Amino acid sequence: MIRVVHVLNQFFAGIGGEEKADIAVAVAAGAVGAARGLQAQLREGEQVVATVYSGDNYFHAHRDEALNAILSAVREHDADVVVAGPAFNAGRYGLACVEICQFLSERLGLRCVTAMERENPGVAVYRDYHNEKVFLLPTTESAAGMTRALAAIAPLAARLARSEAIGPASREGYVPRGLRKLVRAERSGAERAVDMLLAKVEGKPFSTEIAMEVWDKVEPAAALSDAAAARIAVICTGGVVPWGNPDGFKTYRNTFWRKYNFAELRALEPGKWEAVHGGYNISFMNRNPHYGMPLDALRALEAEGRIGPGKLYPAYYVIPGNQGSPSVMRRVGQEIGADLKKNGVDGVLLVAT
Amino acid sequence: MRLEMAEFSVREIRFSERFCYRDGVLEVDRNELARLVLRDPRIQAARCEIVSPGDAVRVTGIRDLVEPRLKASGSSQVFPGVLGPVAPVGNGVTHRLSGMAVLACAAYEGTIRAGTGVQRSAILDMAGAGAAASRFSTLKHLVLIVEISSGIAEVEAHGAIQKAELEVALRIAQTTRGAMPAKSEIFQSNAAERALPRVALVQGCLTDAQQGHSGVSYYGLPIRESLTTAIHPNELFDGAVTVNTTRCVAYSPTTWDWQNHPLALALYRAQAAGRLNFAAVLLERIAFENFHGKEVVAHSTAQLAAQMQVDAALVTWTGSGNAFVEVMMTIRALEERGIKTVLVTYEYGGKDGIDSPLLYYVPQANAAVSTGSRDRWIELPEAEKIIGPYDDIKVLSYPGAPKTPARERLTLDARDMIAGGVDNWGGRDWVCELF
Amino acid sequence: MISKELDRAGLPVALITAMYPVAEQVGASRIVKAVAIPHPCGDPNLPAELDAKLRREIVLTALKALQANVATTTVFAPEGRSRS
Repeated sequence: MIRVVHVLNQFFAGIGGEEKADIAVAVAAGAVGAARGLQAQLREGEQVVATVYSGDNYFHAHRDEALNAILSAVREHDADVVVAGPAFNAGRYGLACVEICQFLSERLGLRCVTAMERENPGVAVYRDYHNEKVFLLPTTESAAGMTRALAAIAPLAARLARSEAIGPASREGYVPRGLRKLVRAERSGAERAVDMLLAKVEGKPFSTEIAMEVWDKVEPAAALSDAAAARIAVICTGGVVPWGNPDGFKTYRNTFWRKYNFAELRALEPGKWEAVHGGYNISFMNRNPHYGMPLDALRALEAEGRIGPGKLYPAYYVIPGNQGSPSVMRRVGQEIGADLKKNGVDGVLLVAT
Repeated sequence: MRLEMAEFSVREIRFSERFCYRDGVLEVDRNELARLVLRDPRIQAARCEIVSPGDAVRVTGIRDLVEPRLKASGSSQVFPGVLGPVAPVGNGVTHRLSGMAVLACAAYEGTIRAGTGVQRSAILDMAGAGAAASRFSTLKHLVLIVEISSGIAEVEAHGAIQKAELEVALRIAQTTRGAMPAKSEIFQSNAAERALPRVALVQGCLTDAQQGHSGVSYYGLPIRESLTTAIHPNELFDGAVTVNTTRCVAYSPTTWDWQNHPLALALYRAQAAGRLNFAAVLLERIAFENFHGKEVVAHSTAQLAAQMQVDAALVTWTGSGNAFVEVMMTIRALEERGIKTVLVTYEYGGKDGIDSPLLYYVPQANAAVSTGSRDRWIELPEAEKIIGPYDDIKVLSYPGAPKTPARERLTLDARDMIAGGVDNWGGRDWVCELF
Repeated sequence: MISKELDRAGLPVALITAMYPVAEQVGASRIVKAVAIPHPCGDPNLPAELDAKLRREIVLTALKALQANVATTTVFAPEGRSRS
């Protein structure tokens, strides 16, 4: 028998509305509230063995307790799969569903299904988790779409419970987790390309295989009021390092950063530094390392008073940036940021190639 | 232009005292080939081996692959400007030995330490996970292993390796002279057919203008910083475009790939099926080092395509990195002229496929074919046997990089080091799907 | 990528790069136009003195960028550069 545990909030469990949003985690045997609808969509041999619910406010105010209580209940009832939601446009509930699924999949290795409308704030959190074990199905905005939502959730939950492999998002209908997998297609890329081009020319529908990326936005840091009064540091992603590459940077896909001291130096002497990078012609940089780490210009500006005396941080940071994976570079950026702050740096020059 | 490509398929390669092709069996005299290659003073040692699909073998030190071909009639020869005079190719009859390649391997340490000019060699497993990852593991190979004499600079080392592999390939191809092919394919332009869409192949070529060999040569002349050039697809099949043989990395095509260009072949076959007119191949030099250069070359391609009354284009590239910006800008320039495009490219994505698949985007690039990822990690098992000049290899090519015994289990953070490990132009059925 | 994390940490950063359209698309805040990919801070085609002067100008522009209030992605061009 397939054992399903359905996790709901106070409203969909049939307990009450906003006035019951503070109730702690409770467990009912079998299907109660909206879980009855899920049971109706499941087939012979597939059973909602328990309904677990808590108040929306309670969950967020007592997150760890709530998660652990839900975990116990799921474990006790020996679930093969967990369903959380559908949350439709309810933001607190949607976020809770995603967190619950994430937690259960991590702790129990269980695959989980949740569902909510595409604009629910839970969706962004779900995407960022990139968790192969959690599936989010899109729903209508309001609970008027409940039956339809449960009709989509039930078969997916059953397949997950049976350890079936689930295909790509476009085919299966779930919201993608941002995981791109290398797989085989039915025809060669060249044949697919010709077909796609002719479809485009003929005005027929086609599906691109690579969608445009949307980069996250960041608030610019506040400006320095006076650069001459600020501590300035330099980061070099062109890969200028002491000759011999003492820290063993690769020419591509680096994962760590280092600092190199230049306190006594007024300039970088060619022959004592080299560029380690696979993505450009390094001969210019090797003949004149200042192209990547402009120490001569920085010293000149120091002499002019544009950079305050002693304000040039006496070491520069390096990570050769070629083929740097964005997720690695994010982490490196956070680490370097922490180090810069620790050393009282106020503003940064990042020389990139 | 009309080219008849006569195919002679090879099901087995054997060493013997003679050169002979018969019933799919290719006999070659390995000593004669070694003597041929050793005539060049830049090469101080040479030998040949044979590897076949399924062999428990890892080949090291790979620099290039070539398919043996021969022009069976007329005065021009394959690899014009390299093996022979600069004479037009793409017409007449060309013989090809299919199902095999000359796999050129060389021991060469180079004089350049890092950057885009540094020598790099690749590996190829003929069985197991590494074989599954490469389009070359299903071919039989005549492995040519040479040692470059010491003190030779990169451009000379390239010259030596290329001359050796092409002369060996030609010598082998000569066994088909006078023989009847198993089948032939005709490649001919459809100039008269006006009703069908005129389609161009826009081929971005990453070239390093400052290196001795820039990476892509046309009739033996390195393309450096030129503007977009129109060539005939048949020229590709006859070896008009060749590569820098001191560098073999999966994200750059080999000579074999240019000879067997999957997009040129797919466009020709679609033309034969009456679906389009294959109008031209546009070689677009990419990797301009400032933004102005990128803007101008994108314009140059769109301008040339518009003048040639091209309706649509497949757009692809070679290489890696910021050269991709030109590719996207070219797509934008073409679309702004009403020329419809489809981009064919490998994607990135990192170890888990969560990073951005591409480095740069334009909204006009709304039709893209993915040929799979270049940088998912791959584990290669221990190899039973090594063939090639290197028993120890540098898995990472940076100054001071350590060497690893080539036989060991290898964990690679990208497919770059596997010859044929990245599907540059959609010759195989790799793709990435979103989960 | 790195520059965005520094912004997030409250550290203003001037990104000196020749590939400024890529930096713009990714969303770096303060971008300074560099000369070319293999030599961002300077031009080997210039005589040494002018090359050094150009480098000073690029770095100075970066310092000015750090002092500029920007609401969104902004590109700064060093003075005296012809089209690049």
